[in-house]
Amino acid sequence: MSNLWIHPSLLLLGGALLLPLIPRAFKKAFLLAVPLATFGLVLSMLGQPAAAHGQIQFLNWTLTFGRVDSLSLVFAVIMSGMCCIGTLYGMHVEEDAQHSASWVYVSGSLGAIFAGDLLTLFLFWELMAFSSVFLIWFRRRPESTAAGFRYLLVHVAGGLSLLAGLILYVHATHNIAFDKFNIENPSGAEYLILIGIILNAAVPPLHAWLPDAYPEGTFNGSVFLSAFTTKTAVYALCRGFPGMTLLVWLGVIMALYGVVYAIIENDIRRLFAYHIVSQVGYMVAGVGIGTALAINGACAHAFAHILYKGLLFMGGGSVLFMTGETRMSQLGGLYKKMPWTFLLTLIGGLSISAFPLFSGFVSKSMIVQAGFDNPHLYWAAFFLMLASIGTFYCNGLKVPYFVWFGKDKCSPAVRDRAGDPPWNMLAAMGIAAFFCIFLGCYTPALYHLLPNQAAAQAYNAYTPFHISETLQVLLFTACAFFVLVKLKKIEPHAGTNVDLDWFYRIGGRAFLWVARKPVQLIDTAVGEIYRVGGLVPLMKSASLVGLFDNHVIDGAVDGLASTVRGIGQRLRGVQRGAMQDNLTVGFAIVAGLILAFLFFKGFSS
Amino acid sequence: MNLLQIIESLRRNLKTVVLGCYAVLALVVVADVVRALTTHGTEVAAGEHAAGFWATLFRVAENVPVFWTVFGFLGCLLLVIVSKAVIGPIVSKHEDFYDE
Repeated sequence: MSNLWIHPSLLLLGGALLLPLIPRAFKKAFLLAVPLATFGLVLSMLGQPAAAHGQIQFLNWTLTFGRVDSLSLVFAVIMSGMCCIGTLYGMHVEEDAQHSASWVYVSGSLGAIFAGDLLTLFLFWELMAFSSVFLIWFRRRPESTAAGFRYLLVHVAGGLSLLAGLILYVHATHNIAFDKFNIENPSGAEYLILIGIILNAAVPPLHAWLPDAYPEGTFNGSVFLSAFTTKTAVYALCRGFPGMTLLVWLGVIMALYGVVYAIIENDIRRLFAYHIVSQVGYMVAGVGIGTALAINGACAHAFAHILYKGLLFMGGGSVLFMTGETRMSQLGGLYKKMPWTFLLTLIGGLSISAFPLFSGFVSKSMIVQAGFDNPHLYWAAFFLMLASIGTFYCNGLKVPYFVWFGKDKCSPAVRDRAGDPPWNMLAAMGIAAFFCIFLGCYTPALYHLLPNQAAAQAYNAYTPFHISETLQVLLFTACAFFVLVKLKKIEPHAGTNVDLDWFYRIGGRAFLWVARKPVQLIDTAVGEIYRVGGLVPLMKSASLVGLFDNHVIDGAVDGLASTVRGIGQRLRGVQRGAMQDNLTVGFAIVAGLILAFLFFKGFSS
Repeated sequence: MNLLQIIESLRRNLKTVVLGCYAVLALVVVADVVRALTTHGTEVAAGEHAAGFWATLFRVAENVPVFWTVFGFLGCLLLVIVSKAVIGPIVSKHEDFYDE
């Protein structure tokens, strides 16, 4: 049986490599076929017994590329499904590299989800970071280039924390399997791994990369970005740290933090990005609560979230694609030009707000209910209810009102360009919207996929209390919103809201400023030293230490640092604009990885 | 009738739409009163004997009709006021803040 197992990531990686070779006439068909085949492959694994496929002996370790069980499958189904929707949405984009980058990104996510050991997890984790940054760079604005570098920098730091944690962990436990860690009494290594994961989940104070980078992505790249990185991290938390009380605190803080920043945000895509932070907060809190219902809730909410957040980013992306503008202070009254975009985005807004009959209602409520089941966690459940007010306020009310209704503040150029987007973008949004409603109306579709089946079957979202509670909270939030609109208290204003990325954006500049002076000092001093000549041996010994560092210490971690530096040098070229050359090199490396993988796989079976 | 015409006809009859919204709000409140009177006590289980602020709030939320109405309305005002009046002035800078 294990001989027949094909890793879904291989299809996407292969597709990404072949894409430039496909003749133009077949390109669109190919763009649809590859994600659909991947999705079909994942669906074909449903109902099979849990098993570990694709195991490879590497040194003393057994690497597992294909751990298939109910937890990995629920995430894999939605990830591969979202890949189909996202590709359809951007299908008219001519540049092959954009599609290739998103497919490699999704394959990284699927690889991390199916990884049964920490090393494989790390490998795909990094693949995600290095491929997703292209979705930001392809927008080709100076701001996007800079945001992409910051994104990469933060993710390399997170990846290093994960790597350091896993080396220490494997060294201490002689166990490379990726299973539940010791959450009662975590070691330093486990904390390092946790930091690496929660950085990808955008948990404050490690969250600022997300609202910094995602709004800078291309109109379709951000649709992919919104789905994969954070939810893969949620999967890793579900696997490794269920029931860790710290996560309840972090999750609740996230949920409220994202909401507060979203309320004062002007750019719609940045507002949606802050709501990723907020919604992932629910999932992190669910993982922290850790009961069967809460873990189900975290998985179900991730599933629903990928669809409705993708839909919202597709709505925001359509506004960007058609008008070139995403600031609410420069929009308004677009319903005449973009009615379908309005309706579909509104469905996303109602889903994220957990309106009855929409997907968020049947998923978010599990997490909140799990909080209300435990008297010690009432506080968390109440704060999550408070955050859900802000969710509806922003996504269901503020964005639809100030973009499509409200006062028309569009410039003539924006107004002229506005209109509903091409058919494929509307179709992708329509499919996502359909599933948002379908999951909300027909709960078994989602509940049958959840890892804890007994709890999922016993749960009913549509109790009179829950329906009544939700309708009251949401409708009276709407009531308060229109009171505030009438009072003219919440008109969007142009402005930048400083978040914790301030520290590395301004702090980085301060560092450079400080560095420049000492560098000049050292430069003159070195000239002096050489003139005097006494310290040359000292310089020699310093370079020897450097060599030792490069070749011995780094060699111990498989030359990883050299690789990272190599990639860094490669990336410097990107800043100079030689993007295509660099992509070629990048995909050549990926191709090498795949060949190596197939080679090893051939040996294993 | 296409989507745009539907939206425009709703806008033309805004008074009726607003009246309809009031009716829905009233209905939701009445329905919750009915629900609270008919299912009183059945939802309270886990926190019945717990003490403290959150447990008290929980019992109020479970038993007092229209609690969530007040929660939704005041919660929204609270969030907006805190965000706009407290957090906003601290973190909000002009648009080119990072470009200088």
